[in-house]
Amino acid sequence: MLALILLFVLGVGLGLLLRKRKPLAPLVEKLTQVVVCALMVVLGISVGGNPQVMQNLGSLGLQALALTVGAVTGSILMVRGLFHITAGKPRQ
Amino acid sequence: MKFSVVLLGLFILGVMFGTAGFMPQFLLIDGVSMQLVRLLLLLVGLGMGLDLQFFTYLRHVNLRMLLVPAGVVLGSLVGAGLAALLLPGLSVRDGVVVGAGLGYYSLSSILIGQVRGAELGVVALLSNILREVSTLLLTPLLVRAGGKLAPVASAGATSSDTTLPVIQRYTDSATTLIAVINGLVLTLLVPFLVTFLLGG
Repeated sequence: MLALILLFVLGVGLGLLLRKRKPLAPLVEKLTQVVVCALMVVLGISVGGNPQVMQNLGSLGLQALALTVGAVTGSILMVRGLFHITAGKPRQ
Repeated sequence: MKFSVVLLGLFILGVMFGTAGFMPQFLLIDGVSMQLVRLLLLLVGLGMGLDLQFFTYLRHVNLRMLLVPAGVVLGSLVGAGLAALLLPGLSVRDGVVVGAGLGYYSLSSILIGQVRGAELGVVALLSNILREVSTLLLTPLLVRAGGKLAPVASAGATSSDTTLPVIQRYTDSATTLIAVINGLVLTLLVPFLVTFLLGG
């Protein structure tokens, strides 16, 4: 996992160094999209090729929904709370 | 938004390939998809480093604005962790990792699926897509119930791109600037958070 973080940081550093070269950004964006597309198909294949996952898609969907409700509610409350603490009153 | 539909379509195409038993040989060779994940992280970093806009916006940042992304990170991890406590078959750590996607569903589901397997990968994909879609649909309601920052918090990492137009429409220009900064900061944080929480 550390290797992944280092690669990401390396990418940001390289990007900052090469920032002046204009044509690079659209090229990197296109390449990123291609890799993301390929990996989405890979993720799909790993899901479709796993009968246990396919049988449980319904309950996995419910888990996803519950986690979203938790994360969204938590985010809204935490942002309000932090503003409340620092300002003494909630922001509009 | 258009690209989201393309990605979802490709995922479904993959699922159909998988159920039909079609597994391209090159993907079965150990580590090929992991190499692609490595390349992806390098490219995502490169793209952020090259993005001049990013650093122009960062100049407008003051400490108070950073409370929003800070609150979103804390709230997402705690909220998803608590939700996982109530769910059978999901550990708190699983929940926290999925919550750490912050709506950045392509990168988070790819990483989580690669490291933790298809089951949690698909939960991450659905959960984080749902975060984007619910923000798009519920923003007027969120503003009325929770104030102008509520849709920004709900949007997570998407508040600087896919959900920005709807936030702009239902809030004001100050909130829109916060939304852009929130989204940029969170998009930068997701790769760190997810890989770190997946296990150092």
